[in-house]
Amino acid sequence: MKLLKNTIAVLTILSVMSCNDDFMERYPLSQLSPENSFTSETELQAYTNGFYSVFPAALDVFYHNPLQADDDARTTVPDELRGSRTVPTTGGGWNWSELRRINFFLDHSHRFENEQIRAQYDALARFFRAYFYYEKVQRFGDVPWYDTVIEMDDEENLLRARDSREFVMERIAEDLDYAIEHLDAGKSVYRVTKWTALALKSRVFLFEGTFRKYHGIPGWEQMLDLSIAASDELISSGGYGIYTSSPETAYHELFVLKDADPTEMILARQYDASVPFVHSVNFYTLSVSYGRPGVLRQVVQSYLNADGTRFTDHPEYETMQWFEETQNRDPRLSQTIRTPGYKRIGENSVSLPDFAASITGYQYTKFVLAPAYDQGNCDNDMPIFRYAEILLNYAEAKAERGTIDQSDIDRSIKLLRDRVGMPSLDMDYANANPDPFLEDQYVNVSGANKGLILEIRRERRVELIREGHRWHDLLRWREGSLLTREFHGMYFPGVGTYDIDRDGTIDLHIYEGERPASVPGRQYISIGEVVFEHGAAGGRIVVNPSVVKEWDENKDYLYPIPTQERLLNPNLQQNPGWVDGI
Amino acid sequence: MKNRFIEGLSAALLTASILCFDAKAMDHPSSNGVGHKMTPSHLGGSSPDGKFSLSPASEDIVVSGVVRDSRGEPIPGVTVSVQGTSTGTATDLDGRYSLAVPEGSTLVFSFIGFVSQRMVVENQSTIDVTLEEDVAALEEIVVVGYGTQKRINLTGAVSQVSGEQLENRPVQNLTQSLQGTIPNLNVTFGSGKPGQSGNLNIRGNTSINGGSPLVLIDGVPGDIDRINTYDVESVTVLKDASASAVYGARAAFGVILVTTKKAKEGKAIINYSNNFGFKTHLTNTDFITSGYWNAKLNDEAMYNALGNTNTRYTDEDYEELWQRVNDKTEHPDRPWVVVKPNANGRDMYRYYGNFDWFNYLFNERRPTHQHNLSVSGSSDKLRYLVSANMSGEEGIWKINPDNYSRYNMRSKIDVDLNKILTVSNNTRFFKSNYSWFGLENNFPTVTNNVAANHLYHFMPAYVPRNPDGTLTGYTGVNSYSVGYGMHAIMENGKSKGEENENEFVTTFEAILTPIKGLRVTANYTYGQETLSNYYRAVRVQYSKFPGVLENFALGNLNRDQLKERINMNQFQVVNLFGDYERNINEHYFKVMAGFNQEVRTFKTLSATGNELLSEDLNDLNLVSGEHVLGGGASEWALRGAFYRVNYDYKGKYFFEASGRYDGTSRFAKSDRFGFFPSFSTGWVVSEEKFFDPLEKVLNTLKLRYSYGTLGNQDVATYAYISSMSTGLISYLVDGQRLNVINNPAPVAPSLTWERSVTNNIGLDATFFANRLSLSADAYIRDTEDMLTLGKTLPEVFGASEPRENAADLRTKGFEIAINWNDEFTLGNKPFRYSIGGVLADYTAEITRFDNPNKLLSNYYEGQRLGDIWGYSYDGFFKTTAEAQEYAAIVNQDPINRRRVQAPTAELKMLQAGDIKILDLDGNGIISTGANTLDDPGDRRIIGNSQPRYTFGLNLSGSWNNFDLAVFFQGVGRQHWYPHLESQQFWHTYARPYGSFLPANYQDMIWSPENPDSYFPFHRGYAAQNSEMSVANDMYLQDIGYIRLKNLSIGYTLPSELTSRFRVERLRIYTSAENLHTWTKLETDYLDPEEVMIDPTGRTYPMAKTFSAGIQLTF
Repeated sequence: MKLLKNTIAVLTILSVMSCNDDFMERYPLSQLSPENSFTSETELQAYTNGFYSVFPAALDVFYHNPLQADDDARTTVPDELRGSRTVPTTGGGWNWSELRRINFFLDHSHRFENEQIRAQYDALARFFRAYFYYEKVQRFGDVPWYDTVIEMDDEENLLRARDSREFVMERIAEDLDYAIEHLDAGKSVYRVTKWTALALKSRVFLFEGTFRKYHGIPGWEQMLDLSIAASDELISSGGYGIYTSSPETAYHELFVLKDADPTEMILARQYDASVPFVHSVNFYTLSVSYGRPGVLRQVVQSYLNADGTRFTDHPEYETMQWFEETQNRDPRLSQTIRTPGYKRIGENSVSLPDFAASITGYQYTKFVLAPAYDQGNCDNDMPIFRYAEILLNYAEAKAERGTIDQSDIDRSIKLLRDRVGMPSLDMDYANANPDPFLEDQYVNVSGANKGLILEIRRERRVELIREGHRWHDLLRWREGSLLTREFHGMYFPGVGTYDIDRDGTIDLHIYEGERPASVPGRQYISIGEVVFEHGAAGGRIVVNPSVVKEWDENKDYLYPIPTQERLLNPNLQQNPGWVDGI
Repeated sequence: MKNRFIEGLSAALLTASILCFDAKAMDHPSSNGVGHKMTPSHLGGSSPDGKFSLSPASEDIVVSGVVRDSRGEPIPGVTVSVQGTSTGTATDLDGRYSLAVPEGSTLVFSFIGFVSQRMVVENQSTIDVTLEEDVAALEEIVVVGYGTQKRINLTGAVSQVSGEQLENRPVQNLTQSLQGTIPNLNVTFGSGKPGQSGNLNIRGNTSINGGSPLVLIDGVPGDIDRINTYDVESVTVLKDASASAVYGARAAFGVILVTTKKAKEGKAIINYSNNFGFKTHLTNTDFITSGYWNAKLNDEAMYNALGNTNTRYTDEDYEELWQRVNDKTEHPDRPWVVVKPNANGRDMYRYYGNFDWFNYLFNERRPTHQHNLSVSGSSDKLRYLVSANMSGEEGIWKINPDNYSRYNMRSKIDVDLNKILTVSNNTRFFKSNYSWFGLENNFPTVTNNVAANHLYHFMPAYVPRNPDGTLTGYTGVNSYSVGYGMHAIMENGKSKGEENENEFVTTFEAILTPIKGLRVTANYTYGQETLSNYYRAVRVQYSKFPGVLENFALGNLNRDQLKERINMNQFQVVNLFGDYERNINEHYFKVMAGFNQEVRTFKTLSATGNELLSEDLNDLNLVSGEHVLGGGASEWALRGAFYRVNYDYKGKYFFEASGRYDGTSRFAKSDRFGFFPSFSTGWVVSEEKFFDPLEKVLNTLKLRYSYGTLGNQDVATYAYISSMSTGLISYLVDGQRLNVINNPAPVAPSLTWERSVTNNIGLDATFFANRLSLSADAYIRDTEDMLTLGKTLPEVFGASEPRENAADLRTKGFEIAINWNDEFTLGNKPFRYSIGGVLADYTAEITRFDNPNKLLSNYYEGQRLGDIWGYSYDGFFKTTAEAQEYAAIVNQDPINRRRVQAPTAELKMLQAGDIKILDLDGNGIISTGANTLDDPGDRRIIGNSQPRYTFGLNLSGSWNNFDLAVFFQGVGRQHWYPHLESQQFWHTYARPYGSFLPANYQDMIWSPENPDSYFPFHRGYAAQNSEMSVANDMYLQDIGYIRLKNLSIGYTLPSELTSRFRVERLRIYTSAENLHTWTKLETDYLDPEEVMIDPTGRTYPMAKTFSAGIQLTF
């Protein structure tokens, strides 16, 4: 028994000893601890590197729906364009994790002692916070503003009501001004610099200024002034220019360069097959599986003639076939879509539009690389901020603000026209002769600069097509109802065979009923499978003919707040017009 | 002499195995043993079973006698047989027998409920025998935590299966042979990949965080599938809190104790066994191999969804396919590959085949083999056992088959240093290797990673090689690759990978028995595992224009890369415990107490290099392009003290208390330690006086009850510490991915043990002279303070909610095991048989969760785990008019996303053959409502994904040296809603470019002529984000099944024959695994078990196995 007692005693002592030694203290071996972080610049940089992943990936630039809005059509129509958005339960863009990442940095960066270096990284964080909130305001209007990490028991912040968009925009301006002041003033195509911050400021406040102007919210003038000032500073710095080579190729080249052009690209997303980090623009453009994107006929008609006159002034423009309508136009047209004689990069044979891969027949060539890249291995860089956009922002903001003169156009839009050998825009002529074709589209434009504003909008659409701007342009111009119009493709005068590029061989056969025997190299379109305005008698291709599209002016400019969020936070008001049953 | 030889051989093996080769051990020339004739004097010796047979010249003598039981009563009906012959008789009513037998033979007396007895006939003519009652069922020694107990003394819920029961199954993994043998030990396999381990679960959901049982191999935590099945003495499952309390910290999910065989006392025994067989497909593989029909069906589905076809074949192409539709092999006049100009006039291959891709890619017969050897014995103060096992199999890929092999080695040595001290070493080594060709993961289980899967784009119209021998890759007519290049990468044979696992574990132990009843054990274990793998990718070329080779553009096939990874993990375990037992009159006491600590460290090194200098050499030294390095390390520690006190009075009333005070490094200092006590009691009712009248029928009856608490520390290693991970993101600057530090995930202010409180009642009984035994348990387990994502916070929080001790769960269940053992005489020989069945069930419900709105997106109070919410579908519309009429009242568009996006007005219309969805809430639109319990929209609970009524059924019999065993295993009911990527369920309705369409697929598709089909109007992608991808009662599947898991037949050669070759026992047998499956699953192209773990079923297929082998003892 004694032995037993001793044994138990020893065991007890051992186990009691265990409570107070280091054996049980085990800390992470391969992760950093927040308690002693941000003490070196390497850490500041590595942490802030994480912010960059919010920039749009290639697919978001060239394909994202609804961002392409009414620039191109697909086989599927997104809910935004149908008017069939519903209030989601969760998600729906109401994601806040990036803000936490940013605010965590700003809450802790003070541990780094060198204030000058720290300011650069704080500036970067604030740039991204501005970028984050810009996207939130664009989507939801009023949103709660947080400039610090929310703790899990911080009921007050978790259950806050939304702040007004005016309040949030002021905060964005502060963040951007801080960023502009403290960010590196050197140039970099892939890193955020002072110039990127100026470009963002130009974009954000053009959006906000015009949004307020056309939606009747006061304060739009100051917003436009902020945009103008930012654009002006960027332009005046002289650091950026327009990429030029031959007018017939320069515009197209800019988007198929393997590495972004540092003259024009303020910020680009880099792709590199050797990493590998690639995208699939060829596949998305040329295969039948990704909605068969096709540019709308209305966009093709928007391009001016090569001599600067308006294509739509031609009495028969509505019934022109592809060959005729693509002759003698703004050279950007043949550098954006397939036009007669188009050859793929590195190929000797001519490629006609592939109706199987393009729902309208107007098939993009912008961004599309050589056939060797057709299987998802494209690595041309993608634009995020491009100098051309700043020039367009500048002209538009000044025109909307009413402070524009011809010299402003000469330092902005003229540069874009020069690249492709187009005559410049004449302000007085434009204002004296507003284009009825554009007037019919943009019904809310008025005032002394109406004609000019319409031309600037034309220029913007032509220059920035497929870069993800159109949707937000329509929102800020309050022209959402444009989306409810019928979308059209190429015009054909009915069933029959066509030599669409006038090279002497039949390349297209439109038939009704039974399919004719195949002839190699010829494309076949069945009436019915493809809907024409007048059936067998032809007309324009009608895209998604049976889709009902609606636009609610009182509701559709903003997205709904998810129901779950409103259940969890009763102080969160829903956006106007959205019914969620709570 | 013979014995010396065997001892010598064993000694040689033993010494070799401990790497200390002693040449003297070989000094016994084998000729000394072999060919040596036995003399009769040997037969008269004490050899208990006379295995050295007799000379055929022996004369028969008549032997007679009486067989009695221990009380001296004669026993009628006892089988008396001559071992190894067909001679035999039975005792009469007075227990008498009489039999003529050859001199020197062995008589076997056997009767159910008694221990069989053997007697050697020398020259006596009367042999009376007293048979001892067989109380093995209750006297059976059961392994418990830090000790053993007799089954009759157990008060907790414990099940045990012996190694003998397991080793007759020719499977590689122990988990395979455990499936279905122990009630409520739930074993599931999600895949048939060679070497695949089973997922283990005991008694259902203990925590919504998951977690698996603690597996102890000879007292040391380890991987159950790294054990050699033939080394196993027993597997014990501790199910309730009382039985597992001494493992408090990690026992919440139950404990599995694997005990390996001990060295046998006596002369050396050598066991050798082997098994050779093959695996074959388990599911139906009768697919459409006609190029025409496969293309037609896929194209129709894609057309109805997109307005375009998959193959992009023209009518002319279809005409070509139609001409060949009956050509099983290529007809010289109608080649499968022709050259035609493409759209640009350039010559290009065009494919019109009827190619059987399935049998080209996959091997129907995959050989398996297994060898097992063990040597065990003892000399004066030393006992030893050494064993080795090797097994291997070829995988399913045919072109360059994948290969799996594994090796186990073990040595166990005990030395009695003196009367009170024994020291021992127990060492095992495990090694496995799996090598394969092709993609890094040939069977992707990642939900949407379809770009690497043979299930798509292997159209029978396409063929693997062009006439000039080059590989095919693209048709050039559509933009897809042929089968994502799977065949090309296989044929190319240079892209490959390998996984290696090595484990070495050694335990040193000392056992001290200083005084009677006291025993102190101390042991120390060191273990090390090394897991390494590499994958090498090489660029693959194909040809679509005659004479032109091109690189595949697919990332997986257009990469020259080597990835290597090594994990080096180490652990150390210390156990120190003692027990003391004593009887005082009718009181029995036993006390056990001890201490345990464990520390584990994990370290990872990985590297990736691009552009190697050689396609055949795979080493990072040859990298000429980019390098990426990775690391990783972690460690954790556990420490605890435990005790157990047993008391019983007169062997009738039992009481046990046990518990553990435990700490883990995974919790902060203030929350680190927990105390987990348990109590249990038992009453052997059959020992009571009042029970005597019943005893004839009901031989024993014991009632048990236990109550106790266990802890679960199975949380992330550093869950309580806020930390910042690092990594690379997909944003390049100057051609380099940016390295990042991530912000820390929020951590709850306090994290501590999940506790599970179990109430268990149990009953053990035996009936009819112990022929029937029954054991049943029922339990209620409350898991409290489960670590879970706490209350759902508004999204503005910006992170997932930290885990907190925030939820409770209640699991209820039962388990029953019944066994019937008997024998009768058939043709004068005993026919022994047994029938055993196990059945178990459980359900679990959330009893606390902070979700006041009862959002269905999170757990809620009252929720039954596994519930499936779904819509109610009411068949197909008979006519389009009926559909339109319905559409006017109920808007199905939110669910019919595919139809709504269809390309033409006709296809967009709700029409005949479309599914009618019921508007349960009557609001005119089909929706999820607010996604709360009160407003689930048009959904209701349509099923439950948890397994119900798991069972196993074992039948076995033996007669005249033949033995037969049949084993069924299954699940009574379990619902599965086919995943949207379950291509082999949905086929063209998931992705309209399926490689393997069922032979009868056309009959399953709706058409006006086929209105009673299984599937609706043929819309491709309808099972992707549309009406077929959301759960509903029409396509919900019951994957409950009954499987004929094993059937084996063996024959043991008569010993008089085998002994001539000095073989004690030789059994030959043949066996089949997974022979047949009965299930309600609507398709036989998927196996129910395959979708239990991976709901897409796109896993490495399970297999049927046929094999044969021998078992040899000498």
